[in-house]
Amino acid sequence: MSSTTDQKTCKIALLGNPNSGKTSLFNALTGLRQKIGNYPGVTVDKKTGYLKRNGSQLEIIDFPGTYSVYPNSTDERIVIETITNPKGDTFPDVLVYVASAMELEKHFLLATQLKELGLPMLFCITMQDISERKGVGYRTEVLSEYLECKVVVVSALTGSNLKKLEDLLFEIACAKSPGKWKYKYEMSEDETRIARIVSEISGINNLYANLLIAHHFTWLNHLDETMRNQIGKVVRDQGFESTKYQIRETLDRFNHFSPWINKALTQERGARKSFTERIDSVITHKVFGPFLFFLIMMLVFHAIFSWSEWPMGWIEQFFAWSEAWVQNTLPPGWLNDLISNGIIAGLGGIMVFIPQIAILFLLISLLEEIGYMSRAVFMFDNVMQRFGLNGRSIVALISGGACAIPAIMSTRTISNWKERLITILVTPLISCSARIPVYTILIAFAVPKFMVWGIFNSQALAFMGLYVLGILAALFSAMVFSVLIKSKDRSFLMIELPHYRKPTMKNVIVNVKEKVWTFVSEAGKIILIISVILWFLASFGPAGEMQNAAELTTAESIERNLSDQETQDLLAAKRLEASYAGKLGKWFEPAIKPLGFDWKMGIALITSFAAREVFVGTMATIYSVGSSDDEMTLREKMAAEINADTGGPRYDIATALSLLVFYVFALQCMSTMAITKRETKTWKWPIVQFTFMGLMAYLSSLAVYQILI
Amino acid sequence: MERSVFDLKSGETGTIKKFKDRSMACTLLTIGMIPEAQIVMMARSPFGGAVRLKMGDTFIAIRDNEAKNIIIE
Repeated sequence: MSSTTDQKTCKIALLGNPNSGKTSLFNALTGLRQKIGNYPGVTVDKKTGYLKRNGSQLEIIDFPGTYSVYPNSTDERIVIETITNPKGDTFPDVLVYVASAMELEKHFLLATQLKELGLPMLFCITMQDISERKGVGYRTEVLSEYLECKVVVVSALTGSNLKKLEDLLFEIACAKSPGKWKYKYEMSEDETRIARIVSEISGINNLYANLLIAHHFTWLNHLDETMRNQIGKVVRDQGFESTKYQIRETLDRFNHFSPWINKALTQERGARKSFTERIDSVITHKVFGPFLFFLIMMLVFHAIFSWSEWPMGWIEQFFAWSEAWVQNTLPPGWLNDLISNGIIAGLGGIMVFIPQIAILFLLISLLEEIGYMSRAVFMFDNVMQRFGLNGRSIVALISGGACAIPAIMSTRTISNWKERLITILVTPLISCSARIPVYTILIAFAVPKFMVWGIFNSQALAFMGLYVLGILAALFSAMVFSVLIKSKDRSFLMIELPHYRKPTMKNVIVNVKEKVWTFVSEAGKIILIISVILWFLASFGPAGEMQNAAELTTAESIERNLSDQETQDLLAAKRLEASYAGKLGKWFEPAIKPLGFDWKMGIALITSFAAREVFVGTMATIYSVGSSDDEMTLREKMAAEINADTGGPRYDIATALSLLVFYVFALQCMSTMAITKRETKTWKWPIVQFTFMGLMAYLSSLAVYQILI
Repeated sequence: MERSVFDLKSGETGTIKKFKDRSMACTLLTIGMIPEAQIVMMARSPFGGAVRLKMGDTFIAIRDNEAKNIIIE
């Protein structure tokens, strides 16, 4: 960006409580032109949008919702991190505080805290429409007088006053003067003294920001080690008790602003039973509540499979067509092969999951928008706790059914580190969409098709069984980790159950777009890199042997009188066997032999590291049906394969089941490991995750094969 | 015998008097659960362990442990 545009860009922070309508307002203001980035040093998504007018530009940053400047989760900490660091890149020029009209008192706590920073502020009341129906309205001039800033009532839903809000934003941003203001909270002598000393160390003028630093110095990233130690010493020497002053400040603020809010009220609040209460008595009912939850989950997963069939077919066809086009258009050679079989195949392997991921997040976002997800958290918190998890883990575990990557990222709302870590560790055990193609092809060998009680298809039941196995493994592992991992952090749950409302489609679409993008950008680049590496391993081998493979193929082709296509396929199979990947498969065949796997499956296990579904493609190449896109051909080939040791079929029930169990448990996904590393900030946890899931896979497969054989 | 929010019967209202544990109080205060606030017990979670409360126009779920920490008048 050039310096001239830089000068005119004004940073606006959108702040407020969770469920304040902040994100709806952000989406309404910036539309779909949003950018997702990262805050420096932390892994919280930074959502920015831009507004342009007459050569000046506003950069609007949507911050995570928080109740006060004393945060409970990683997500919320970013707010304090930003406002206590005036030199930081994201430090705002203007604050827009978004409050819902429903419960203004609750919103005033954070609003008055932020006001102390001395930045120009705009106070925005949303959901006045719902609130007025309930008989609550406010005189904005009274609120404005108290807050010493402009107050505007907007509706993201109907778009009323959005234009006025924009005008005000440009007006305030251009003026850039904070105006006059005074501290709402009178600090005690102790607090003032501490804040003064801290200000000498931090070099920050604002006294309140320094008080916050004294409260939070242990985790604030923008402080360097020396500062942290100095502040720590001051806090200890002065006997500064964080909780005591936090309570004092909070109570003092409530006492201070409550009379003003009462003064601003236009109507008395009624106490009639609300719509939400009536729905809640059904939806969170002792028996009906959990029943409804499972019903919804069944529908969600049914939708993932049935709705995604067509778009997935189109995507597959498109990439198959592109591959063929490149193969026929570019001159033959390794470059042609790299582009068609390495890059395009890799890209196809990423894109094909988009429909399922989009559908799952579409439904989850809808449930969230309506207000259902927080009820699920409330209902299952206790069950989850028994496994060492948190009620909020349920969102991650459900999302894991599509892809572990966005699921792991959604754990940031879990405030307790131990519970969050365990959720991250076990989420990849939930069967994700990449396992589906593998399950589909192997189940045919493992379970004969028949009807159970006349209504259930045995193979469909086996499919469900694999899912259940994954879920049970996740819960069991969570329980083990909760014993192994020690933590002194207090575990608690405090979740607001928002009023039920009609979903705003814009919010849903933005959310789905965000999740899909996360998958494509985070998992995509790793899958692509690994695809290319695997392409290399599978296409090249010791020169003599690759030559040998070609000669053998020619001889066999003549002998068996094969067609051109069949010869091509045979050559591909022979080359793969002679390649480095084939060598690798053969090299570690002894290790997987007890599980019933041969070197061919070994190759498939290795290639699965890009993404599990690569298994199917690899098998197709190995069985010389690479050119056929018909899955039945592959299945027939696999079925015809004879096990030289037993004389029976290679894919007997024992082997197929063993392989299935292996795919349920093993962490064959580099992208998941990369995300776990990013979220836990150390390689320790992805390694732990890989090891425990690998051991579980190996041992269960071993047990299954040895028992059944 | 002191009563806590946890002891409220479904539909019963209590007025917050104080908190037993200070660090837990910090969290609860931030959502406006302050002394003299009126809390209505809505229901208990289907599998136990948590309660659903109403405070003014806000619905909040907290764990039994936290509810036991809020002493009512």
